[in-house]
Amino acid sequence: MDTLFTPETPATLLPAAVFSGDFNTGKSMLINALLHREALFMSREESRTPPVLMAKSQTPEIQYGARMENSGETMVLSRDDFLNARKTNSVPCDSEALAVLLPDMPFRHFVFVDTPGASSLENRPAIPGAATAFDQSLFVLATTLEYWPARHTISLIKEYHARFPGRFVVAANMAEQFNAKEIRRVCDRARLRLERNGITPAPPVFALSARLELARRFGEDEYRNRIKPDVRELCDCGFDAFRVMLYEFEARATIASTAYDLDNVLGSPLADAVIMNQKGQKVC
Amino acid sequence: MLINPHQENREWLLTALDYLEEFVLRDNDYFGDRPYESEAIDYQRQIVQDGKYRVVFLGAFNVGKSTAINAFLGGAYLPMDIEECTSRITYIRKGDNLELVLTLDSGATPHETEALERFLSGFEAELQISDDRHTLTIRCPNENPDAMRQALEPLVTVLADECYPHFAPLRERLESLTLYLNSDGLDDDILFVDTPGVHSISDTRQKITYDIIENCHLVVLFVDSGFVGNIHDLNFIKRVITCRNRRVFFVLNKADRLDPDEIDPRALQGPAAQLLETFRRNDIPDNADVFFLSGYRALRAIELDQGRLSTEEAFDDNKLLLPTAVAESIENSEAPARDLAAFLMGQSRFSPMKERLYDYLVNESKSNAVVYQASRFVAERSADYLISIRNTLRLARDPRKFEELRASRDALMERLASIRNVVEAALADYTIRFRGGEKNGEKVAGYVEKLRALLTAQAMDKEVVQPVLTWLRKDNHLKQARREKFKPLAKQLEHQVDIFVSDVLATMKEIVDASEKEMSDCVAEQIEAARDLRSQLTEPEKMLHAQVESSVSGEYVAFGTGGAVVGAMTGAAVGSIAPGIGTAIGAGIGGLLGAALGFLARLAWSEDRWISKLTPLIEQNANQMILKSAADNDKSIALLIEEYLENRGTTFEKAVKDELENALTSVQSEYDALLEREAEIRSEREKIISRLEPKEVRLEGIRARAETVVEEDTLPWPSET
Repeated sequence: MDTLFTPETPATLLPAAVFSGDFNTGKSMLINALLHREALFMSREESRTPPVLMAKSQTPEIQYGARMENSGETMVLSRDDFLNARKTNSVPCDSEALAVLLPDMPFRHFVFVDTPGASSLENRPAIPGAATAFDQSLFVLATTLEYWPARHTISLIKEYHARFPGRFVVAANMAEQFNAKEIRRVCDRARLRLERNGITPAPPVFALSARLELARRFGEDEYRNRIKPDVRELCDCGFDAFRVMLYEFEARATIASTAYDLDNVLGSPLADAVIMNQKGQKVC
Repeated sequence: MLINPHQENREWLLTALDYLEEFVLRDNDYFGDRPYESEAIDYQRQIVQDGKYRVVFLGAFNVGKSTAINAFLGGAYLPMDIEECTSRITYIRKGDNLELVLTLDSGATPHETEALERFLSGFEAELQISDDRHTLTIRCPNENPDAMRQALEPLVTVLADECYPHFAPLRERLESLTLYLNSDGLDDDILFVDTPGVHSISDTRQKITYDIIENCHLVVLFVDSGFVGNIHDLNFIKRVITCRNRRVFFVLNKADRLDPDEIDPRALQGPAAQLLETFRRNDIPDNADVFFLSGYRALRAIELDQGRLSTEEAFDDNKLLLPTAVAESIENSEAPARDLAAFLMGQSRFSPMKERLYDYLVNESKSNAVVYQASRFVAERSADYLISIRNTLRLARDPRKFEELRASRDALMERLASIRNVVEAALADYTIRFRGGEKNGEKVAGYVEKLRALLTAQAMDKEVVQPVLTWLRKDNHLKQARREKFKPLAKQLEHQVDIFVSDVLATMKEIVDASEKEMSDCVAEQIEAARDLRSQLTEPEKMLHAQVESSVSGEYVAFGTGGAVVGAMTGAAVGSIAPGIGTAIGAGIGGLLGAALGFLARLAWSEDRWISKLTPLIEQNANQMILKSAADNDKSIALLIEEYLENRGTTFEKAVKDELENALTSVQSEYDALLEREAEIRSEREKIISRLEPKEVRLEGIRARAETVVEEDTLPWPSET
């Protein structure tokens, strides 16, 4: 884990966790599970949405906001408007980034960034360039336990690894759909596999299940009960390790003193960097 | 099962062919060309024995192809894994015993076979080595799927490179791999082809696109139902669908992970709707049947039924994701194993899919179906052999016919000459269409000339170079290509060449088929006339009308015996052009990559500059692949097709001539033979009648049944198009 940090960074940069990956790999569910709440819209249907930044709110209410496409101004949104901005494929949307400020966000300093899902190799999100704004960012590639060694995933990992060495991890979601033996074997072989592909030192691969984690937080759940205890345990451990890794990263980041509001989140160089790099294939 | 009537017919065909061969080779009442006939019969037998309905399972890696095949086979014979698993094409067909036949391109060393034997001894499998050491057979005497799966692991899995490095030389020399099994799940005339994930090694991919898909009756394409929008091989799928121009089965596997309301085979919502939407967006013709399946549940259900999996093991299997309420009620039921199996089977949606698949094979996809062609052959051949027997019988019953026979000799000769003239004129016409020439004062282009008109530099520029450049300019493709060392560019070029060559081949096929069809129809009619002459030898007054009658029957039998043989023999002698083209494209792509890599360091170039630098490279490589090869020993695609066309035309001409000669000679020799045997027939009438009558009955029986099989098949021959 100690390769994960770059200690000497200017305090003005927001510490962030940037989540990316193909759609349907459960990025939003992964974030929701980390936040202990269903803050993001989840769907199996393909949706094109602007990047969403999430941070801890200083006020007791949840705040939703958007950065407008043309003016670059911040606009306060209602919850419904926020969810609608995420959803549709056909209706054009005029915001280039969205933000949610959550009073009970378990990470005090981290800004979470949810990037739009990609549907194929051809229109996958351009990987953010190694901008200064990202110097305090951790990149999380969300994929599934089953498909993480696919050719296109490995090539994404290679690129993240090259641009953000030591600040990049793989979350292999949906591990609950397999048997414990299989999960262990995949995890055991992950490092070897990455090194074979020239990715050294290999970034950590966490086998976890966002769905089980949400169920764990929300009490009795039929789906969670279906899963065999040994698999549940593996997935929970995987998620805990993932969360602890995020906490550790956050703890080591250099923290700016200001509290978060919609303006300083949506107007931050981090937001600029995320938007700039999305420009190429933004549907909105 | 649906397929049974076919199986029955096939078995009967084999006995019928055996009888015909016996008759042709050893019976004194046969007067034809024994070697020629027995060869034709033998050829048909090979087709019947070997001709299977080929069902190919395709898809990205890890979508559950092997698992679904295992469900079809009724046991976990093929290795399965949650990660990429299958690395090689495996053929699966019915056999008497459970065995795996490996053919190698060079003999196995004693060292290799010893290692393999040692490995196999661990789980009751044994090795047989052919004398030339090119064929290795692994047998599992206990018919145990687990043993076979273990035996396959070091040979066909991706993991083998890691876990069984010592078998690597053996794996590399594998030419083909066929699994035989005696399972009720596998019908006699079905051949399954399990393939590695389509993204795998380029060689395999070429083989799949050019060889396997072309020669199969049904493509079953697998997609993970949870990731329908993420299809990474759309181009490939597009090609499969467009090139086949017939139904493709799409299986949305792993449906057990979907919510019930997402499973909507009518494609109004959920993954099925998404799939059709993807087709629409990418201009893929919607020519698909969509199924939801959970191959894993189906396989587990089958194993439970067979007692290979215990109820406890099934309950412990997390992958089955049994809902708690269901698990509880099954645990408390009287027959948990049965109920669990029934639940899983129902949830898997396997049975409707299997039924539809077989139904399609039997009732819709008749092209190349073996039974029909072979039945025609048997019907026509037995009718042919009956002629001599009937002629002799007729003369034995009424010897006065000999006088009429002699009297009509001149008319007979005249008719033979006119048949020959008609066919020769048609053949001359065919030669013009094949080689080019002049007809009615107009110039006609030959096959090769027509091909060259299609494969011009302009056409290549329009169909290959420009689309590739357009692609490069779109969606950051150029940047991406540079980043990935031009591999995406090479892939795109390969794809465009692929499409271009496929189109050219399709056009040429149309041209060749049309002229062959015209020729064949003419030959069929004339050969039919010759056969009628023969059968009416003893009824001279009918003989003269033979031509008129035959042209009527010619409509019904578009292609006489001559035709069946001409068609079949041409195909066999010429073979497929596909694998050669695959290799040529593969080699060409390597060239492009090498040349483009030299540019990689030029970071400062603008997009236009890049495009202007890459254009000549793309042009040159496409040109090399298609028109002229760089190396002397590699053939360009144009040359390969030219050779194929030349070969095909020559073979066809020869087949037609042989067939005609055979038909005319048999009329002549039948006539001579009858007159020669006059004294014998006159003196030994009773004996001859009692000898020939049973043969007449037997042959007539065969002919009648074969004809029924042919008539039951309503689709026109030779293809369903």
